[in-house]
Amino acid sequence: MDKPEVTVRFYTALRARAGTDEIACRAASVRGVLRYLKSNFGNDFNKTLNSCHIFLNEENIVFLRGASTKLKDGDTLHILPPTGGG
Amino acid sequence: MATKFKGYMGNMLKVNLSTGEVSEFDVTDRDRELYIGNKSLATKILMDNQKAGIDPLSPEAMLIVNTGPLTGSNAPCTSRFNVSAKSPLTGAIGASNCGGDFGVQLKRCGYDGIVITGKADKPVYIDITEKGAEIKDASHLWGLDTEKTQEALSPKTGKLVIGPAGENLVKYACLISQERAAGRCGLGAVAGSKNLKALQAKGAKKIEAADPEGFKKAVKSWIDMLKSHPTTGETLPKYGTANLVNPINLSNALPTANFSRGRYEDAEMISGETLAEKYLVKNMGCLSCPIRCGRVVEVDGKQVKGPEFETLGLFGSNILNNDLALINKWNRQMDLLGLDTISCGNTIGFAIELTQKGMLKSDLKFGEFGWMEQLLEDIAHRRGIGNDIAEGSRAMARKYGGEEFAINARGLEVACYDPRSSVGMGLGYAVSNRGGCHINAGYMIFMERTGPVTMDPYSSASKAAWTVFQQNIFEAVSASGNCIFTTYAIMHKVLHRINKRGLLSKIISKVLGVSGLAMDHTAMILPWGMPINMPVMIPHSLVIGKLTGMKMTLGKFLQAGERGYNIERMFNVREGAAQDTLPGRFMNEKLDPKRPPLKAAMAKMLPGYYKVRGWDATGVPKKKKLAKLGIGISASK
Ligand code: SF4
Repeated sequence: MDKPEVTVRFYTALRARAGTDEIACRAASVRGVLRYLKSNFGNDFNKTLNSCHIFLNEENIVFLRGASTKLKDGDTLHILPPTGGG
Repeated sequence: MATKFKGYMGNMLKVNLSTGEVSEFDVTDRDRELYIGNKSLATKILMDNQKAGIDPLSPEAMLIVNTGPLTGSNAPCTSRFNVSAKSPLTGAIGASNCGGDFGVQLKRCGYDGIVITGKADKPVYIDITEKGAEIKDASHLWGLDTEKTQEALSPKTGKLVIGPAGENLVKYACLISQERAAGRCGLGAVAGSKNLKALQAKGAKKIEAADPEGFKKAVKSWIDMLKSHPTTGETLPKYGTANLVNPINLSNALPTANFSRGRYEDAEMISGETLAEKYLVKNMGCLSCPIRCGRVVEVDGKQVKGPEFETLGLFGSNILNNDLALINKWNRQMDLLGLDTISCGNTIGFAIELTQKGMLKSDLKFGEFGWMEQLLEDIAHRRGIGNDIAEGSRAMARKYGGEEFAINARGLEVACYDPRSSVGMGLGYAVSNRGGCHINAGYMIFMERTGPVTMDPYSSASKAAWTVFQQNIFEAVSASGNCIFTTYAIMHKVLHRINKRGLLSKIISKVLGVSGLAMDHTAMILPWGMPINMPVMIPHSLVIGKLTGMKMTLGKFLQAGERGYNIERMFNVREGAAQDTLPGRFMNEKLDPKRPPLKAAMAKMLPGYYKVRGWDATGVPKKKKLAKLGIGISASK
């Protein structure tokens, strides 16, 4: 069976490094998406990616099962670098 | 020179607008050492020289415009000066920090600040030069917006002005310098109540350093540090504070429909990314700032300052508006009128909900904005429903009801973070001396949501101690004349490289969650427990020492922040404005069906906070704490 198709959205510096605001990919878990991204984007992207917050739909994955969180068709992952402002 | 310390000019002015008298206002070196400058020192001056219980819009009320030692020193982000008074909006301490050029020019005239009392019998402005201050006729300026007022004053001076909102005593009128605002607490109304339209200053005096070489070296590494840091070197310059729209929205903390929701489906349309892509002409900075977080956008064919995150949220998601071009326009209009965008947007959100619930008769609606431009004019000129909205959300709730969804703390409209998704932020809003201000609150959302290492945003564990730490450091940074955005680099860039899903990140989060006791003790052992400087994280104390010649250490610096926070608290206690509460919506209504509202967490955090602060169970600083901080034993005269 095919792995679920999910949308991955990038924000701020990560969006600039990715050169796009979103991509689609197939992966069974957040870890699978991260693996996909690491092998498809450059070094700078990957350095920023490590420190990013990740949300699955509307929930930070730290409140789910972290990188082991399972995905389903139509899910959206939001990946954001740490930030500040005010 | 009336001070042994460099960095300060050593003189302050006192202007009585009722009598026209201009004199010197003395500040002791002891107070400079204890309070550093800006808001902390201004509160000390208010405590010593202003009677308790005065009407903030009466002639006897004091309006203080002052600086810190770093202001104008060429250290990074140091154009910051301060405006303080008893707030007409809250009745509590009012202080607002500004990055315009007035403070730097004031110092170049040889003055660290100006204390203004009385009321002129016609509109005036104060003209400051190296020779002193003169009160001049401003009849021709009255009624002008903040831009035209600045244009009509002398070229190449530093200026600080009010717009029609200040003249008409709108309770959240601000003061504007260049395009930067001393935005919060309604201090523009205090100026307006004195018939004071503007101040201008121009001088050429030099700000000297005690150790010029050491200062230069420390400043250079500080600038390098800010430029190479992911937040201060990339995110803020590229996206401004607007970068927060998406992360705060995803965190379920973006005020939506008057804080009834934390997520807005069109957040991307009002985000920093959209602003950068579609509207940004360039970024801009306050003087001597390598971060340059300001936005320049085009409105009606003119390049003007773009909106901050708070304005995007409160004039975007909070009123269900996804049109960023409209926000750019309204932001500009409010700057010209001299309105604080946070209090204004928040109160409009409240008025819309009142209308929706049938408690107020008006045409205001979520999602439709044909009325907005006229309403902003009506607020600034106090016409029709604008006259009620000009009083702020607390006063409106007293008149129309709806107190539980009037989103203010201590009478100051809460900024653009819903604390039900960041409980430390809730504690901060409740105890913040100036009321619902995100900065004075301690900005715990950075520790709980957006920063490189995070604590559980729903747990109350260790939040009291971290809130105290954050509040103290922001207070000290502001007191010194520096921008608090420099504190983002405290989280060293190395922390931004930690793998968020790795073991180290998990350990750090756990440690932060149980670090309250250790933080508590850190506060107790200041300053002798930290007789050092840590320039790789907190360069401020080292740079202040090199500039002023004070024996400044990290411990003394943090303790100065603690002292500033405590004297502000004492001001509020004296004025009967020290009740630490949050609106019913935050306390009792769920934002996320899976998570409780704030009541239970607040019941745990508040007593813990008082304990860490050394305050009694009612939130009043204990005598022992005040004595330890030297509050009350120094004299300002
Ligand atoms: S970081 Fe932004 S607000 Fe602070 S001094 Fe620089 S431009 Fe001004």
